[in-house]
Amino acid sequence: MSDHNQLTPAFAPFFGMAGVAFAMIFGCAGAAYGTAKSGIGISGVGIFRPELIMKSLIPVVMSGILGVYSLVVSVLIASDLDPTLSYSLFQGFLHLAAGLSVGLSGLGAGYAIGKVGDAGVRAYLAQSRVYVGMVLILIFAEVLGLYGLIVALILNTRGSS
Amino acid sequence: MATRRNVKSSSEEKSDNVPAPVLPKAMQAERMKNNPGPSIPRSVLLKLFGFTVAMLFGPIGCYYLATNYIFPGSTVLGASIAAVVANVVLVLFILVAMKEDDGEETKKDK
Repeated sequence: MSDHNQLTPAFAPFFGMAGVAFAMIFGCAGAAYGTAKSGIGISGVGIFRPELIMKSLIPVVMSGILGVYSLVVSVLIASDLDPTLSYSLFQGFLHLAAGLSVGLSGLGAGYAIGKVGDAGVRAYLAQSRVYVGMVLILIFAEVLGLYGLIVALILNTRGSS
Repeated sequence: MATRRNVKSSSEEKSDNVPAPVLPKAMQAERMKNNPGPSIPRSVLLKLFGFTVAMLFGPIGCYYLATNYIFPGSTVLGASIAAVVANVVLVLFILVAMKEDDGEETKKDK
């Protein structure tokens, strides 16, 4: 059992575990919104032109990737939590920041993917040239989640050294 | 303003969506009686299943593979590999989706 002092208080792991939970909760909330909203659009399109469904599934796959980002960061933070080692308050705040950055940027990216996926897929029904623009916009929205992942990974390297 | 706009747009969506599935319901039921077999081609199902499996197990499997066997001790490298694998699956999906739809369009043209 580790001994506690000013730098490694007993409540420090609370922040690390909050980081794990925030990464998963917010990231998956964003991914769920993106999946649901673009799924509504896809089922609207599929009624009229079922052959477009495969192409229209791209926002759903991108939302899935946002979920993977949160999952990876959660697993990464959780692998640093060990009850037998001393855990400093600094590490706790780092893990909280990592989890919040990937979680909330995933939430924002998922919101954008949902909105753009819904409207873009419906527009693709009428005008096929919208597709390239829609995919580009979706990629830019998804990259926002990737930025959160990168920041979380960089933050995580600071805590383990 | 924002809430009013949201409400309006959602009501518009409803008015767009709801009648379409409701109207042809009887027709759809008849069609299902005439043609009960699944009209989805086997290749499409295989593709979707393959991408589902790749998305579920690819990134997280690569993470554990990298952290436990390839680069033991470096979890960040494993995490970046997992993110790269997830994006590779996405790019493959986009390529496959575009290819398949092009094929169907050319079939229709013939």
